[in-house]
Formats: sequence, structure tokens, C-alpha cells
Amino acid sequence: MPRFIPTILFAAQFLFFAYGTSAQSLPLSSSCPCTLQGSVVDSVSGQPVPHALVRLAAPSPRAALTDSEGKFQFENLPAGLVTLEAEKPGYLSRDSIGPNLSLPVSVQLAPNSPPVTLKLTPESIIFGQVTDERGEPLEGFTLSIWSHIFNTNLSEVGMGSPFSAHTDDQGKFRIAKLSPGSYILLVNPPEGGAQKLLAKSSVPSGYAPFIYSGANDLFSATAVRLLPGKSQQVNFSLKREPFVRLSGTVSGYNPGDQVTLTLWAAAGVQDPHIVFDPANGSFRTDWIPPGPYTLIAQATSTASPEASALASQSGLVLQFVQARESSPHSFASQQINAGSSISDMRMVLQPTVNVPLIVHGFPSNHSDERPNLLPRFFALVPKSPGASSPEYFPGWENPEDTHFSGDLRMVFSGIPPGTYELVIGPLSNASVYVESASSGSTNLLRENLPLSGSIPPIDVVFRDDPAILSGFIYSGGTPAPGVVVLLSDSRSKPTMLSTFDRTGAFRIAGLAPGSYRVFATVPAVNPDYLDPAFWQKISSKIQEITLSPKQSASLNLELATVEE
Amino acid sequence: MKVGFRLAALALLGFFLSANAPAYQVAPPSTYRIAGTVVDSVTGQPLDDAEVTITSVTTPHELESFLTSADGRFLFTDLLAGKYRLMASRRGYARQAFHEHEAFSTAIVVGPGLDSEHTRFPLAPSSVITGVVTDEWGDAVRDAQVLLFQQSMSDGSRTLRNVTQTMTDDQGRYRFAHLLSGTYAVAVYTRPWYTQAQGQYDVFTSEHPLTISGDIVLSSGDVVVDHASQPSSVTQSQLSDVVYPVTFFPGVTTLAEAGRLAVAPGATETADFQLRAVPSVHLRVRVPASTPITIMTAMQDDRQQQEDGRQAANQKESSTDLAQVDAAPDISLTLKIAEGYSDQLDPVRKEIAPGLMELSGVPPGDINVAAASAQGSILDPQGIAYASRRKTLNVSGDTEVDFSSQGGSAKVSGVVLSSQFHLASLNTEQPPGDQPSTGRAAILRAIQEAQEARFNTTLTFRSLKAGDSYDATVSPEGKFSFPGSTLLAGSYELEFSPQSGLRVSSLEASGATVSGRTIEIPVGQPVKIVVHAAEANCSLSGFAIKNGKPVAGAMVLLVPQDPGHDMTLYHRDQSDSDGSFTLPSIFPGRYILIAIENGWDLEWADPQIMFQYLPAGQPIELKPGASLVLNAKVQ
Repeated sequence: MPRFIPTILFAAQFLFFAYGTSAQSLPLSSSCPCTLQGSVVDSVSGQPVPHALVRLAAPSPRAALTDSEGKFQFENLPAGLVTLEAEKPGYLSRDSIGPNLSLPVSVQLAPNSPPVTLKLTPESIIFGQVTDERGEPLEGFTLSIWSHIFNTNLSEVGMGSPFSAHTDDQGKFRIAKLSPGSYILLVNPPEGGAQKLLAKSSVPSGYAPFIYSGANDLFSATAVRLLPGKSQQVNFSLKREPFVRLSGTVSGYNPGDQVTLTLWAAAGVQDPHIVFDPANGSFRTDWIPPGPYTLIAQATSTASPEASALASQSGLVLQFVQARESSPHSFASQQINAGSSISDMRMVLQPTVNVPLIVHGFPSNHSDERPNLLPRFFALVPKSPGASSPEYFPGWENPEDTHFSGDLRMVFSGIPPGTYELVIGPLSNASVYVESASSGSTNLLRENLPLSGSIPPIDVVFRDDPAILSGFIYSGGTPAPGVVVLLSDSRSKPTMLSTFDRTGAFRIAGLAPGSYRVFATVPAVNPDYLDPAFWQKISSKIQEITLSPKQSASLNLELATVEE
Repeated sequence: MKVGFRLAALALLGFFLSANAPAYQVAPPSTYRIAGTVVDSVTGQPLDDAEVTITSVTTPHELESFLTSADGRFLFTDLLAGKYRLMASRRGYARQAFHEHEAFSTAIVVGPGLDSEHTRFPLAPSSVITGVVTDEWGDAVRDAQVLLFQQSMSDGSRTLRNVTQTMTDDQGRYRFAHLLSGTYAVAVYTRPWYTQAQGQYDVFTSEHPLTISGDIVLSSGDVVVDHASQPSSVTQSQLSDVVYPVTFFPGVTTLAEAGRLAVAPGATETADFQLRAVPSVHLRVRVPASTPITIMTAMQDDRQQQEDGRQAANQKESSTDLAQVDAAPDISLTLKIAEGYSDQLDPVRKEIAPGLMELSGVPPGDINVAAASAQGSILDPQGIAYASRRKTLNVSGDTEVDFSSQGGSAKVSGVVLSSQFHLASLNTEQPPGDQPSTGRAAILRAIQEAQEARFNTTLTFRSLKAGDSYDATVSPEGKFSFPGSTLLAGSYELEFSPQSGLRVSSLEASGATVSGRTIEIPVGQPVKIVVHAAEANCSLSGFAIKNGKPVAGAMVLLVPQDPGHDMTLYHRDQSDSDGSFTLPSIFPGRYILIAIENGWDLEWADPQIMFQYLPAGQPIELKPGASLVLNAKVQ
């Protein structure tokens, strides 16, 4: 997939387990050893959960199974902080997909402490059947679930597929261990689209990938909403279709150029074999399912044509790919809705654009540390309608220069004309922030960059006087973990921080000075933060604050929840 | 014809299509057709929409694949003369080769004068075995390994062999589809989820008691069985230290007791399981005094390694050093679930005293304990000698295994004489010290990598009295030795690992007495052994003939005149559509060649059963390297 970035999802899961132990300290009682009693209940039904494993992380590791009434007890415990966690197959846990809503609980143990109740959130399940147009089961099809992935700046960085399953001989599939949330479902036929031939020289028929419920691409698909503990049935009826073949000519390259043809399918990257003859420019694809495609042709004057495309596909590129030498000097892209074979495609290569990127405002001393202050990546993400081409990452303008003195000069090389969003990856150091990003008069923190011919360089300015916002999150008067979201009129992207501290404490450093709207909400797989309806629902919980340079402000937030 | 390229054929399809064109042609060669009808093997009805695939036997790449028409017909044209394997699959029918028997099928031969256009391909409806696995409380057991065993004649007697495996889903459900009718057994093997959950967690210390509340039911041993509502306390080891024994349907723990499921064509059988936890077995293994390995190692720490390559290279040269490392024998456990099917265990290991290891979390059953040791220099991986001692025991409770070499160790080394080793030594290259690192783990890893890279031949010394075996790895030069004093004095029979393609033909020894393939090794004094190895370099081919006509689909069997217990000396094939058969890779020796029509259900390893066929067989002698062409008379 062009924008497949699962790393973030899993990183977020890990953070859930780094639960805090910074609970308020009570005077220790000397009259223990004490007995801790409690029970484990299903958070949806309220029913006791028998035979659940209860683990005591502190003061020392111990474990017990609950009895048939969901009860457990630990004897001979010293007074003080006790951290408990429950687990049982069928309930969300650390190996579930999405946030683990079965969080550990910390209690202060003293003589006659009241019983503790641990809540386990039941997992959600998607199941169903894939059949052909006659209702016959289709076996060996891959069903994958996808969810939107947001980075810490709350910008959507792509779609991740945390889980997939294959249909069995009855065409049936099941995916368990899911957290509640919104998921997009994609059915992929076995490799090659399960092509079948009736006889020699006949046109093969097969199946195309299918996005529920008939969407053209993952980003416009209808999500299936899963409620906690609910099993959701989704059935698919797929149609075998005659496959098609795309062929034509490429022109506009020089003799000796390396020409690369790539075919992107709306449902994800396709990698059909494409035969290309550089002598006359003719090309022909393998048999492919009918449907919408983007065919990309690029010419490179060196012998490493794939480097740029590969670098772009690899998702979160943590270093600045030195892509300049291998970037294409000319490019052509064509969107086709291939309902039948097309034999006269004409791909006329056009020159690509190089866009300098200049990073200003880094401290001039300590040049050794400067790379560590850089964001994890800069990227130009295509925003043209229907674009499913890759993102582009800059290379150093002068790859030999590793001194990082003065302004840092990079360049986006070989970029096809179009409209792009400049995405600045998370900063690894909160002592600086992005003050501005612009190209000529275009404010790239708010607007997209139209790219054609020659354009002014992109200037990104960092400053080292950020503000800090800290405080507590409450839910009905009780401290609670949550997600803090900050929105500024000067930026199109919110700033976000997830806290997993049960005391509700949060601290966000590295904030650009300015006015913000702030709220806290619960973690979710697919937050609706970008949805105006969401804003409507939580308007009473939104607070406003203005931060000045180097200010340390504090704010208490009431958790905004949006119930179904 | 023997089947062996099912997966490779699919993977290489693309390659073949592009490499198909012959380099030059004098005249267009004659081409032939394979045509026929796919029918239901039970009803005889033609089957439409079945996918029929042909593969060239000589170049095992899948050629073409077509769907049958409404009347079940298929047609392949433009084929060169040769042998082709036919496969068919359809929804509701397992993918199967033409007249498939075990690993054999009948290839279709095309050429002048051969009829390949009236092929009737009977396709057997596929069957299903499904079921649900629950625990003692009736909760679904998810992610449990479910093993399917099928009764086959592959060793000449009715044995249950593992054919496939799957995992249970979140409802504890499993499903084996696409089965051919036959006799099956099913087993479930997993760990209780709560012990796995603890495994990811911190190690529990035994000084802290653990509470098991309520009605946990443990089926045996001294664990508290408590149905009372009052929670009771037991030590922590009892919750984390339980296992599920391998459980065969219907709820028994050995393959011998396992129920046989007779599965009819197209039928669905159900086999449900309820698992019951039992205390895990604790194995105590006494190991011999550690064997020093002379290790050439680069004395660098991790920080230096992270610096740039040029600097690291300098470091490597300047600071290599010779070190002696105590490599204590590496104990590994495998659980033998059935003949030819074992599962590597990952027990909890604890050294409870010098030279005494305790391994827990072990299920009761047939456990193979192996202790591997090595000796040599890490810079000369070819020169490292590996050996292991192993013992199979049936454990039901805590057991001690004595692998210390108390009471008479022997010093044994030797050489295998075979053309294989000479050639192998010329082809191996080893870049020494590629990844300079220190520490025992790194050294063991380097040894393991070197071991995997080398020629995969082991020589087994099987003790004639104790249930002990010792394995020595044979170096590419054909050398073997037992490091330190791992081999005990005693009488042993020598044999090569089956995959080596070698067989012990005779032995010579200095310092020991030999008789045939056995050797009597005394205490103390050095023993040098020369092993003469025979290679399976003979072959036999011909036609299966009855009343002067070729017979397709007959079982062709080569029976050794002196079989012993070595099933690898038997060879089989299924005759192809023109009656032809091929038996490659045969050890030299005396055999009887027989061919039996409809012989696929015979227990051919049973002398009583074979007695009636042997007199009509043809005795042959295969000299080393011989390739005989001989017709087999079909009985």
C-alpha cells in the first residue's frame, strides 16, 4: 500500500502499558499484612468474569485465577501501592488490535481496604463469508482490516492493516481480538486474482480486490463500526470478471535512460509484470483485474531507477533518503478506468521539478547535535484528486556536507508536477518547534503547495523558545487518562498528546506560542477528530488558551466522550 | 511416478513461461495432446469447472491450467513427447494427482503410438474433520495447535503419519478441509493460556505464594483441587507450572490409544476436545563437565562495534585473542508426538547445582533429551567437531537423566570414506571472523551458524543396550570425533542420518573390535574408526508388464534381500500410463523386484503378506553405480 504505516499503531499500544505509578502517596499503615479482595467484571455486561488471570505487578509479582463468581484475593500483602491487571482470552489485552481498554488499576492497600473491581473490555469480532455470484464459497481469499492512522500531530499519515485472515473452504473468515472502533475491510483474491482459463488463448477471468462496500479506494471506503464485545457479520459476494491488459507506448526519454513503469491500483499497490521495449517504447502489462489504475512512467539517467520509488514506499523513512542522483528527470502519470483491455495508451514523459528545502533557525553552535534536533522526516504528499502515487522525501543538497553549519539545505528531486502537502514529521526534541513553513507567499502550515515549473524554495523556520502546557484530565471529577488535542488557527493540523497516566497528568512541551483551543478525549482506533459533528458534540468541553514564548501554562480539562 | 515438486512447480511457473523457447529448431517437432474427462470418483458424473493442471515430469514446472467444460472435458495441445503429471482440483474436491496413492501418481506419457486422449480422471470428493477445543471450564481454547494424522502405508505397514496441522480460532474451533477419504487421528497440543500469559510477564519468584481461587480443577498430582467457594492458597509454581498433555481424540494421551476416524468421501466428521491441565514434568539432567572450546575471538565491546566500519576493521585486527570458552552442553528437548513427528519444547531452564540442570514446563510423554557439545576454533568452523548424546524416555513424573560421563568415557574419532566428502570440502568457503563479537551467546551463535552451513551428515552411534544414541557431525572432509569425553564405552551400531544418502557398508577400527556395522568401544584408550560408506547411486527402470501388455498404476516394489530394519532400502514407484517406472537413488545390493496391480493397500513390510508375491519376483543385484533396465512382471 502506498501509505502503509503500521509502526505508529503499535507504538501507541506500547505506551498504554507504561502506566504511571505516580499516584498520590498516602501514609503507610503499619498494621498490614493485609488481604486484597476483588472481582473481575465484564465492562459491557457487568457480569463477573470467572477464571480470569489477575496479576499483581507491585509490590511483587503474583498471580491468581478468579473463581466461578469472578472473585479473587491476595493475602499477606504489605500496605502501600498495589498495581493489578486482569486478563482473559476474549477480552482486550496487550496483544489486542488497537488500544487496550483493559487498563491496569493501582490502589493504596490498607487494613480493611474495600474490594477492588477490575473491568475487562470484551473484544470485538468481525466475521463473515466470501462467495461468488452463484453463492459458492471462495476459499483462500485474504480479508484485511484497515484503520486510519494518525501521527502525534493528528495528521492522518495513512492506513494501517494490523490484521488479516484467510477464508476457509466454506468461504468463511473470522478476525477476533479487535478493539472497538471503525475499520475498513478489504478482500484480496489469491495471488494473480485467482485467474482461470477456459482454454488456450482465451482471456483469463478472475477476481479484483474489493473494498467494503464497493469503494474505489481505502480512503473513501465506508468503515464498519465495531462496538465493544459485539460480533459484526460482513458478507461479500464477488464477481468473476474477464481480466484486461494495458499496452501502449512511452515517449520522451533519451537513449540509455532507465525507464520504469509502475501500475498502482486504487485498492493498493499492484505489481503486475510490465514488459517494456526501450527500442520502440512499447509496453504491455500482465492480465489484471478490470478497475481504476494509475500508470506511472519515469525515466532516470542513472542505473538505479527504483531507489526513489522504493524509498517512498517504505513508509516512515527515518532518515533523509539520499535520493537525488536516482530521481527521475521525467515523468508521466495516467489514470485509467480499465473496464476492458486498452492497447493504445500513450505515456508522454514530462520534466520533473526539483524543489529546494531550506531549514532555518537552528542553533549555530553544537553542530554535532543538530541532526538530532531535526524532525523525523520531511515529505511532500500528493494531494491531487485521485492521486495514489507515492510520497517524496528530500535528499541533502550536498551529500558530502555533514557539518550542518548555517542553514540546512536539502532538495526534493524529481517531483512530478501536481499539488502537494508538506508534512513535517514528529520532532525528536521538544526544545524547538516549527515557527513557519512557506514557499514564496504560500503558508505551508495551512495550505497545499501547487508544484509546476520553477517555484520558490520551501523555507522551514525553527525556533527554540517553545511554550509548555501541563495539567490534569478529569472525568466526572476523577483523574483519568486521555488524549489532549490542541488546535490553532495558524495551523491546519492539531497537536495531540496521549497520556496513559491514571492520575490524569499531562505535559506538552515544544508548543509554538499562540492561541489554541484545547480539549481532552478518550483514545480510539479511528478518532473522529476531523469530523465537524465531533466538534459539535464536545463544544462545551473546549477551552481556549494563549501561550507566549517560553511560558509554562497549566490547564485542567474535563474528558470529552462521544457515546454512540 | 513419484510426486515431489508440487510447490516448486507453482513458484517456477513464471520462470518457465519465459524460458520456454528452445534456442534453435531444425524442424517443428511433432506435438501431441492430452485429453479426457474429470469425473466424480463415487458417482462417475462428469465434473465441470474443475481446474486441470499439467506439469512436465522432466522439467517439473507447471505448464498450463484449464477449467473443464460443462461435460467435464479438458484438452491440452501442442505437447512435446514426454511424461506429464496431471493434477485436478475443484470446489468440494481435494486437489489430487491422477490416480494418486500416497506420494505416487500415474503420469500420462505422450508420444508416437500412445493414446493420451481418452483419460478418465476420477476426482474423490473431499472430506472434512472439524471440532472445538475447550478447557476444563468449558472455555474455548484459542490458538491451540491441532495435528492431523492419516493412516498410510508409506513405511509398508499401517502407520499414522502427521499430514497437516492448524490452529484453533477464537471460538476454539478448528477445521481440516480438502481431505481424501481414509482413516485419521487428531491431536491437540498447547499450553494453558494462563501459563503463557505469565511467560510474557516477569519471572515469578517461588518464595511468594500464589493464590488459586475457587474451582480450578487439576486432574492429577498434589495440586489442590478445590471446589469450595473459599479461596485457597497454593505455591505459585502450581499455577504457572501446569501443562496440557498432548491430547488425542477422544481424550487420550497416546497415539496408540487414539481413536481412528474413518472418513468417507465427502463426509464431515467431528472431533471435539476438552483439555485438562496436569502438573508439568520436571526433568533433571546431569551433564558432563563442560568442554572447553578454543575460540579465536575479537576482544571488542559493543560500543566499539557501533563505530564506523573502517575503525571497527582496525580494531578487529589489533585485538583478536585466543580464548578458551567453557561451552556447557546445550540441552534440548523434543516431544515425540508420533512416529516421525516431534515438537521442539521450550522448557524453563534452571541450573540447580553445578552440572545439574532442571527443565520444567515439560508435558508428560515421550521426551527426547539431547545434549550437544562442540570443540574447535571459531575461526575454523570447518574444524569444529560436534557431537550430541540423546535419549528417548517416557516421562510421567519428575525424572532424572544422567548424561555425565561417569563410568568410562572413550576417545573416539574417525573418518568416513566416500566421494561426497572429498568433493564437499572443495566447495565450501568460510569467511572467518565476519562478525567479531564476544560473549558465550555470540560464540554459540557463530558455532550454530557454522554448523548449519556445513554438510548435513551425522553419524549415529546407537547403543545396543541402553536407550542412548550419540550423534557426531561429519565434517566436509569426512572427519568426525566426540569432543572431550562425551561417548561412553560400550557396544554401538553405526548408521548415517537418513537424509545423508549414505549407508554404512563396513567398518575398520584401531583400538576397538568391529563386527559388521557394530563396534565395541573400550574405556580410555583412543579409538580410530574408518567408516566405508555406500552411496545410493544405482537406479532401475523399465515397464510393468502383464500378459505382454503394459500396466498403468501398478505398485512397483524393490524388496531388499536382507532388509534388516532399514526401511530406506525399500523402493517404490507407480507405473505411468505406458507402464513405465523409475527407481532412482538405490544403494548397491541384492533385491527382488515385484509389481502388484491394486497393491496400494498391502502392508508390504510384513513378510507374511509379501510371502505370496516374492516367489514371482525377479532377483537382481545392483553393483555400485549400476543403472539397470528391467521389466517387472505384474501380479
